[in-house]
Amino acid sequence: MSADPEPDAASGPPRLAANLKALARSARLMTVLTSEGELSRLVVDSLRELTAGYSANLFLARDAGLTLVAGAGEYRAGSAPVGRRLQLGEGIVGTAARRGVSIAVAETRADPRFVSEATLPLTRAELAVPVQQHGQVLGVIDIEYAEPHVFDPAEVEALETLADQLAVAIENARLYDLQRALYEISAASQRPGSPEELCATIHAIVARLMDAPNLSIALVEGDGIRFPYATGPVDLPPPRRKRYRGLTEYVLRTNTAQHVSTERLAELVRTGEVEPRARRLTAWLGVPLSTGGEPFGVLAVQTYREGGQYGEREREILGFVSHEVAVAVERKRAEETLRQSEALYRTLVDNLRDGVVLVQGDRFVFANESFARMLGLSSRDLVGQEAASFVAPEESEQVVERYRRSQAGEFEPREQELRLLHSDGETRIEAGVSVATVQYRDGFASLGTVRDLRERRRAEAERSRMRGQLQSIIDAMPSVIVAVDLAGAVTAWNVQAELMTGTTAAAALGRPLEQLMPWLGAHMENVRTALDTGEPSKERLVRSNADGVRYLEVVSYPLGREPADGAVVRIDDVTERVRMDRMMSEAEKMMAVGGIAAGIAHEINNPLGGIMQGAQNVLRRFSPDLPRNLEAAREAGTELAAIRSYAERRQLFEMLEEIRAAGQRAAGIVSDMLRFARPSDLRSAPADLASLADRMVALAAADFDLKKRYDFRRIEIVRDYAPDLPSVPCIATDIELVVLNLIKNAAQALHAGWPASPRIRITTRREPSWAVLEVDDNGPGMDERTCARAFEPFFSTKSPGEGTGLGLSVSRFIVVDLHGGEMGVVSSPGAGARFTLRLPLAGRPA
Amino acid sequence: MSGPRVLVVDDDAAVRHTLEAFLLDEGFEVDTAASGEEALDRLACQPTEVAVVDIRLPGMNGNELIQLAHRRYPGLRFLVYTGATEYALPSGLLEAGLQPEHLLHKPLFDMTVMSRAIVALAEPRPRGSS
Repeated sequence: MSADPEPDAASGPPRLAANLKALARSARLMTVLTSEGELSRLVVDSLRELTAGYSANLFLARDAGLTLVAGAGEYRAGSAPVGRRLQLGEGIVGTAARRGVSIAVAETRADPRFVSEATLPLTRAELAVPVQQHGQVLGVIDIEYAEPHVFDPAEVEALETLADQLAVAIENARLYDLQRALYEISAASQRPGSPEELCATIHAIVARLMDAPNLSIALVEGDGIRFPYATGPVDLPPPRRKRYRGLTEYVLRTNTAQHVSTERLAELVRTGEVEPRARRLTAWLGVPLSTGGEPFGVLAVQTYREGGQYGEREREILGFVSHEVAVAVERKRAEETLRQSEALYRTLVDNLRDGVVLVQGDRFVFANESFARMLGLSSRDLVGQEAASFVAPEESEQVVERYRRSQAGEFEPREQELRLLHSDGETRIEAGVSVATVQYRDGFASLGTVRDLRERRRAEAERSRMRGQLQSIIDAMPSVIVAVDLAGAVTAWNVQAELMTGTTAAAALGRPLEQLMPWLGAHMENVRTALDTGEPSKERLVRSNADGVRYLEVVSYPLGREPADGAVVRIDDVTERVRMDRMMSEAEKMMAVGGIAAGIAHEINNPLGGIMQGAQNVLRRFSPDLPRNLEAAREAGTELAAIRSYAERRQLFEMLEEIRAAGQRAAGIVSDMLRFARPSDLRSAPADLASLADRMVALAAADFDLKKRYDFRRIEIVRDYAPDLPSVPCIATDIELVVLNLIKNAAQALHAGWPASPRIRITTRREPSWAVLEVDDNGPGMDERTCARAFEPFFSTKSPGEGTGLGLSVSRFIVVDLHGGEMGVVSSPGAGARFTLRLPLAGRPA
Repeated sequence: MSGPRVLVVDDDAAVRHTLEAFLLDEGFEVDTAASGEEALDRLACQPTEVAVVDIRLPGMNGNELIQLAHRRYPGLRFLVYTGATEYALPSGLLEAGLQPEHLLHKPLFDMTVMSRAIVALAEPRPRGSS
């Protein structure tokens, strides 16, 4: 080929020379056309016009063969059969391509290499000029003539020159296409979008450059291969697979592009480089993906078209593309990693219970969802807002000042409490805020963690309310209730405990119980036992103080599940109960004794009768009133007066009176005891309390007069009888005994105290269902303790010999047990005593 | 002059003797018996105005004695003098003319209570009352 594009006009026919000049212009024009398609059309149109041929065609080397890309001329079908394929060596065109030399056939009928083209049946002569660059055949220019044609060597040489020009132009156009493709890939990889979208774009671009129905991207991932993209009509890999000796691994292993044809695959399988494939392979081209280091994946294309093959050009193209893909995949990977990492931090920060905010230049540059929720907003709404506008207005000045001070580097406590303002503009949120100064975007910012304290406050309030309620409950208990922890220190102390010890709860809490109630003494051991074993213990303590003996019941219960975490000690003053129990047991004893006594009462009363009657007789026989006494004295040689004088000197009368009185007391005891044993079904009869009381006053007066002990007449008897009081059903003799007893007691009390004007008032009155009788005196009265014990059997304030102590207990028994009534006393020292008995007007209830 | 005749029936010698002595001093005619049976013998020998009867007696008891004696001697009056505090007059004795005030319990502090009761019983009753 000539280096000079200008053909020698003088050496050829003038028409040709002129045409060649035009051709040269066209060739020059080619160099500025950058599209292979445009270029092809320009070439064939020019050739058709400038040569004598009836058809001009351009074949380009594709996939190890030739493809008709453009044609101009008189085709039978009307247009060129673009896409028509020829193998190398097939026909005149294939032969020219294979040999790399121009072939001019003047008479095709005479040339066995000629292959008739159906759409060009008129062909009689043909000229095929290879388009070559650096010894590589890029395509073939083909001119067909309808008449046998004698080729001028200059004509052939001119076309060869044009072919050289075309080769450069094609090369340029291809490079341009490739560059454009690379640019598009690079641009696509920088556009936002999923890696799959990017791969699809790359696939479309690559398919424009070569025959690549299948394109896949394989990435090494752990011990497997992932295929984030694999598209094509058939033979697609799974999204992920284990590694094996496949073509992808072969490329990775060799870190070089591999072009695998059917034959090459057979060879690789034979040498053990790859495992046999299930599917037949036509042509496969794989290039490693790497950004400089170890390959991390493979970009592969594959075709199934019969005779399909990849050549050096495809390898080069894919090599260029692979670099862009590697960069794009890396970038996407980095973006993905960043996105995931960002999502992780976002998830962490948004799911913190506490609010997290970053404030810079007085505004939020970040706020997590927890913080936004506190304010009733979403975190997006907060960014850019002024931080101070979410502080309760009443505190904002103070908070801003603190913020200013901390920004100014002055010391401010890291932890602060403040009230935030909810986005509703009303609700205040108590928050605990902890602030740290951090570096952010070339400056300092305040990183705050914000805790909503309302929940804690509510819980505290609830706890405090519960504590209060618990305290109210234990304060409402009539018992002393004290709780201790494992160390014995007081953890609860109720009002009763305060009253008993005089120590307030505030003073008692936390102190050892032993110190506060030293008299618990040995019981502290029981408290410890309750703590250790989890078993409750109960003990009765006797405590003496100025008020007398008190009985205390102390019960210790373990608190909590095993092991106990404390104990509660309950202390009850059971003095009254103990006394009642004793009374009851005494009364029961009396009943039992009474049962026996009834049998022997007769036996006792008889000798008592003998004693008392004997004593009375003796006294009477000293009396000068009996004439027989005077007679007997004289008969005895003396005078009664002398005998009486002797007896007085020797106090015989007193002694005899004492015998009688002692006998009477003994009889009284027997009588009292027997009342307990008396059957309760004694018939009761209506009785008038007023007249009954009168009779008893008279009897008491007689009794006292007789004994000459008290001057009963000095006692003023005030009767205050209700006129409307009906008769009340009762056992009259019993009630007489009770009333007599009360009158005697009153008289004795008056005698003991002896006020200036002693008085006993007897009152009767009617209450709705009761007949009431009261006996009160203005004597010395009783203290509380005596009052409380007044009805106990054998309790007496009288000196021994004066009372048995049975009187009031028997009275109470008669009134309460036999009559279903009530009996009580009201008294205080110096204020007399008033005994009240109530009898049911309806009689004793069944 | 002698007062009404009184029979004291009591198995307790001390009681019996001291009552006898007292009633004698009071001017009554007094017989004594230690049992119901003996009392019936005495009543058969002597016309008697008032009998003072203990209830617990060997042999027949005081209740039986009173009922029996009442049938034999309708004019005879009775006082019950017993050491049994739970004692209440049975209906048979109410028929014999005994009233609650005719029941005296041992021991008596003052026997003049009894002498007054005897005097009251021995007084001639209005005609037709028995």
